[in-house]
Amino acid sequence: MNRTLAACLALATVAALTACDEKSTASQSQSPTAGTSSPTATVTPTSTPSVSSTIAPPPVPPAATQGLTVTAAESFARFYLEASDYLVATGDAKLVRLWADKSCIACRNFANQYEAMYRVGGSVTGDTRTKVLQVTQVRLIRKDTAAVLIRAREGRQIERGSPSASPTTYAGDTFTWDLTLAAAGNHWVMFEMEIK
Amino acid sequence: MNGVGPRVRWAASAVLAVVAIWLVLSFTRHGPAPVAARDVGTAAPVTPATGDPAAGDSASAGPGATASGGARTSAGATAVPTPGSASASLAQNGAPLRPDAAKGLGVASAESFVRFYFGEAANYLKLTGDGAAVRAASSPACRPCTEDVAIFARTNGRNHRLMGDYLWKSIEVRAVRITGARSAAVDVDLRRGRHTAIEKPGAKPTSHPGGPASLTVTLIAVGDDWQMFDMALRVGEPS
Repeated sequence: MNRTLAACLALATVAALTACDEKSTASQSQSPTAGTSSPTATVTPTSTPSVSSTIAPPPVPPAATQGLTVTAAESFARFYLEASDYLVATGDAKLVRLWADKSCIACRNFANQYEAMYRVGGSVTGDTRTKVLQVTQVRLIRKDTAAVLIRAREGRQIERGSPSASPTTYAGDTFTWDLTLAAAGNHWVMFEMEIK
Repeated sequence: MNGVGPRVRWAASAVLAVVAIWLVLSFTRHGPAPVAARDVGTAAPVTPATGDPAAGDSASAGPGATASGGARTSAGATAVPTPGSASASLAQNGAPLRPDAAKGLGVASAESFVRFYFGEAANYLKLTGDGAAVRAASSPACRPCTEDVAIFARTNGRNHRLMGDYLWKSIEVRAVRITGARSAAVDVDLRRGRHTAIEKPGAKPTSHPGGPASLTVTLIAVGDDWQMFDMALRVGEPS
């Protein structure tokens, strides 16, 4: 796990817990779909920061992401990890934001962090693509939520906070994503991301 | 028609003409008469009953009755009763084959496989008594699977010993968990309607109210595909 991303998720977890505490006093049964903005089309980034020429194009959600089934949840989770990889490699957070529920603190922090890094000329190079080893569990909860566990591996990455910053090397790791998806119309959006 | 006046003869001719037209129209609308049921337990494709939306709702039919939807042919043979027009293609196309989406060992293929197992293979078994599809999709060690094959070979829609709304429907996979290197557990919700079974020839029909059921099934990898290994009822009516 990349350190920046790990930091984002750590912050997100603390923030999520705080938010959950706050929410629990206000409403114990708030639907995760509340405040969801429904993406209706695939967006092509208009201003991609200049990075390595080997960057893959932005991922497109496959047709299998349509619907609120187990299969659609798996497909969406894989797509969102690709969108996250694209953010890490380019600093372009459009997809990560577009396909996230407004309540997804991890998604927001993740997007903010990398956007900020690339804005000042920082970058991440190396093996920025998440390799999904196995989707180990997909569980539908009520009608509007799905939980997805994905065992994944990240390769070696080199991160620079700015052009003048000394590079930080991340050796790579194997970990498990614990993703919570929320229903938004006839498809899923990311609601929460944690690393186990 | 000696002694009958021309008006009566004309009226009789008109009635006959109306009946003839009605028969022609009826034949055109419904297509050819259904083929008679063949031996129980064979995989011979059958022509299902015509698309009567009410077909299969006659749970109270007696042992000698034709299930709703089981129209009689002009020769007097009884067509295979189907619980609804949705099952027509199931019976018509022979033993169902595993779809491409149900091949492989991932989460999505597990979902697709379980939908196929209940929605096509198990329903085809109940409809026709032919267990080929269930056997092909099951491990020989799957006891509930082999028991179902034996039960429905004797009591099925084709031989009219299973009547009413007996097919699995509203199949919704709720969870897929990869539980080992080559196994998965799948939670599935499904339902059946009210139906009647005659478990032995000459026995009184047993009525089943139907309703929702929740199962947890265990899949194992055989080669590159899933197979049914076990199933356990969590909530609902047992089979």
